[in-house]
Amino acid sequence: MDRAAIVGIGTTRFARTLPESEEELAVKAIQVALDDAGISASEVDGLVSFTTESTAEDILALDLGIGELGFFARVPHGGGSGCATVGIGAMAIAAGQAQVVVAWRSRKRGSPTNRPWARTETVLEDLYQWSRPYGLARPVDDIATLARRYMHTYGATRDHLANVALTCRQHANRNPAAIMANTPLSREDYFAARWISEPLCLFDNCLESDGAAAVVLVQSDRARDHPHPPAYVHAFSQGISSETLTMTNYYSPTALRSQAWACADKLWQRSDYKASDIRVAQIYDAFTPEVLFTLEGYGFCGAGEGGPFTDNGNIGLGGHLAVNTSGGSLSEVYLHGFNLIIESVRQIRGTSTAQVADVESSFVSSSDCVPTGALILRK
Amino acid sequence: VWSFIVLHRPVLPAFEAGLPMPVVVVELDLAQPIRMVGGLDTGTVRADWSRDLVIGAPVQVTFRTVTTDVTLVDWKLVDDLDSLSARHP
Repeated sequence: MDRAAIVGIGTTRFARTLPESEEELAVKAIQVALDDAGISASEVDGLVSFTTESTAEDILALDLGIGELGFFARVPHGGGSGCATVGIGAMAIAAGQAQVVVAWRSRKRGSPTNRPWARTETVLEDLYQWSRPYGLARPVDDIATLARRYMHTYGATRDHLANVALTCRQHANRNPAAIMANTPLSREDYFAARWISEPLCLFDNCLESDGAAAVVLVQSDRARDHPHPPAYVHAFSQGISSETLTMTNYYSPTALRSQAWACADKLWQRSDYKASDIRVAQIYDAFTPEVLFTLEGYGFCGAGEGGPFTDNGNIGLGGHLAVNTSGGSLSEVYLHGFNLIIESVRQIRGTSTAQVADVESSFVSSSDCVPTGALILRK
Repeated sequence: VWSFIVLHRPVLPAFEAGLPMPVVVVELDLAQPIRMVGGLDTGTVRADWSRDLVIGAPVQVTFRTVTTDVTLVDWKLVDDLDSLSARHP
């Protein structure tokens, strides 16, 4: 559509634990993004975030000195929300509902008591009553169940999962802002790590961390009036595949056909670029198997080919498709994927610490194990 | 058995006993593709589940009474499904 562009990006520092509240982190990241765009808070008239975001729009408006807001929206489904906050902000601008939209995510999950599965209600009333009592208690347990079936069906191996973890870590080692910037990871380290939910080990899991990130969107016809080159929102879709279930797709008759498949069809229909044109992708990586599922769902490779696609440095810098060039959720920071959006913009600007040469278009996806979304940004 | 995981560390206190603990997803032979999550009944039939628990392994339902109003569904490894069908037509 190309009718809106990201002209500002901002983040806080990232760490296992930060002293600031989620509200304070949100304010900091948004202020950095506005400064990056050269836009004052008083010009903002739209806000979009996740339903899981804790800071309300009116509070943020007071904190930041935003005047009157004419548009605000929230996107559901946790890790599936990120790309849609940008997509919906861009749609609001294209529809004339807003001029300057901020999308953001602030999140503190470094402390174990902040994690949803630390809650222990006695009686579950929802779908989880059929799995949680048996020990499928955390997101990793749900994904491990799908991962084992996937590995059995297609012959993917732990070496393929290690490829994903090691690639993200190598990219993080180039990124001073990444939590794992100075912590290398070897294949031996990967295979020596403790099980979290067999067949997934420690390094198949993203970081639990604190931080915030934000982007500023404006109309395309004013996008070049700002300090940095714009990243145009070229194509956007959300997706819920037929007969899929949030996190528990092992109940589905088409269990290995993830949410990405429905999103992909619509995304590519709306895009001038095909999957084979894309050279850099930020793929939601709360768990390593999700990267394989997503590569297949969006057609970067065929069904069942995600494992071998990661071999021979193919998803690293210099490979066929550079994936998660800032370190991703596995090694930069886990912000429900919002850092992936920031990095996707950096690749368009040419300012990544793992910059791919001659980037024209940049793909970014949200979690495909929940109702999802994806974006293609372009220069 | 359609898939399974093995838990090695307690997520909640109730799961501390019996680690490492398998959790299975079972596809019902007579109602495909309906699938159920359950525990593995390791108390009977096969002691060495870590060798015999594989995708495709046949299992039979058992019931675990937790409280007077909560019963959980577990599964035990069996030699083959044909013999079960013969016993329970």
